[in-house]
Amino acid sequence: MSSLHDDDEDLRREMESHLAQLEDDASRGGASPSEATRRAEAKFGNAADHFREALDEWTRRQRTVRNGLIGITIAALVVSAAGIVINVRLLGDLRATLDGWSARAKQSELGFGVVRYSGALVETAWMSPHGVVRQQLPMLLTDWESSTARFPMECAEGERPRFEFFVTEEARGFFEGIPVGTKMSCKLAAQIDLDWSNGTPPVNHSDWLRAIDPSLQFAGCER
Amino acid sequence: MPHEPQNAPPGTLDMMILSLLAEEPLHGYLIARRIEERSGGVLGIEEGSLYPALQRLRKRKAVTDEWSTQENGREVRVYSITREGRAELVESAIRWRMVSSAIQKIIQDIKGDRRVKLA
Repeated sequence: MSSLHDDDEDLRREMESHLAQLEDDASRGGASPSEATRRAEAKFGNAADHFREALDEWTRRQRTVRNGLIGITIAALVVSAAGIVINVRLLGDLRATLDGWSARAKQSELGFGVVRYSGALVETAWMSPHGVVRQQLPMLLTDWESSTARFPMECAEGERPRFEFFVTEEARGFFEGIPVGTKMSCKLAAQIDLDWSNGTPPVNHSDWLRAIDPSLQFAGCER
Repeated sequence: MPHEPQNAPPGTLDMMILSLLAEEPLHGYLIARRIEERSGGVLGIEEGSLYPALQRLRKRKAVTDEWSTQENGREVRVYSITREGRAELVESAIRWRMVSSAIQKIIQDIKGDRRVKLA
């Protein structure tokens, strides 16, 4: 882990590098060396103050986390002693909000009242060392052939498909604090409008889904 | 009519940084320039905002950083997006689209040449 001193030194080097590049810009624009320096410093503004504030804030948070660790540990022990299994359950309360934006259940060719999902927002919640984590992850099924082949992905109107899967080593990055092998479940919360403004999704939506493959299983439809 | 570059709307800078890093690793100077270029000069990112944002992203492990030496011998701190950062990017992009779409619906009747009655 980097120390505060290392962070401070890195920030200083980073500022100097950026400032030098701004000077290069000004020089290429015809400014004299002194004028280039003046312009660069003017453009850089009060970044140094912001750096210092950011570092101070980070230091404060480190202290807070350290102080809070004792409480978290005690809470974890209480939970374990009570034999309570970490409850990974689905959240449904976001659906109404999302429906207003993108959840447009399309009528499929299979007949009235049947919904075919091609993209969806998956909602999960789990207990991490830092508390309950709620995450919404998009799932693009149309470009993931194995999923569309394996799952019927059709539910009656008003129902949503539910999946179960196991946390794999590759998927740990998405599920902080959940041991590998933990069985989880998730529900398709809403159909996603994949009409990105620039025509191309900024990232591969299916990264995380591939990470939990091949344990992903269709677990039926739920209201 | 030319406009002065505008600051990024609150809460969107982290998302824009992650979006650029999803394409390729970049250092701070290039991130600032890319935002200006991609926005057609509409957005101007102050360095004083950019670096604290990069620090935030680094602290929550959305990006990693590595020092690299350029051809001109200058050292730069290059940032790369992580898996966690990609997940954050997708989520924040979805939220932003939802919010911006909602705002657009509210102001859609306002035209540049429309006279808005102020009182």
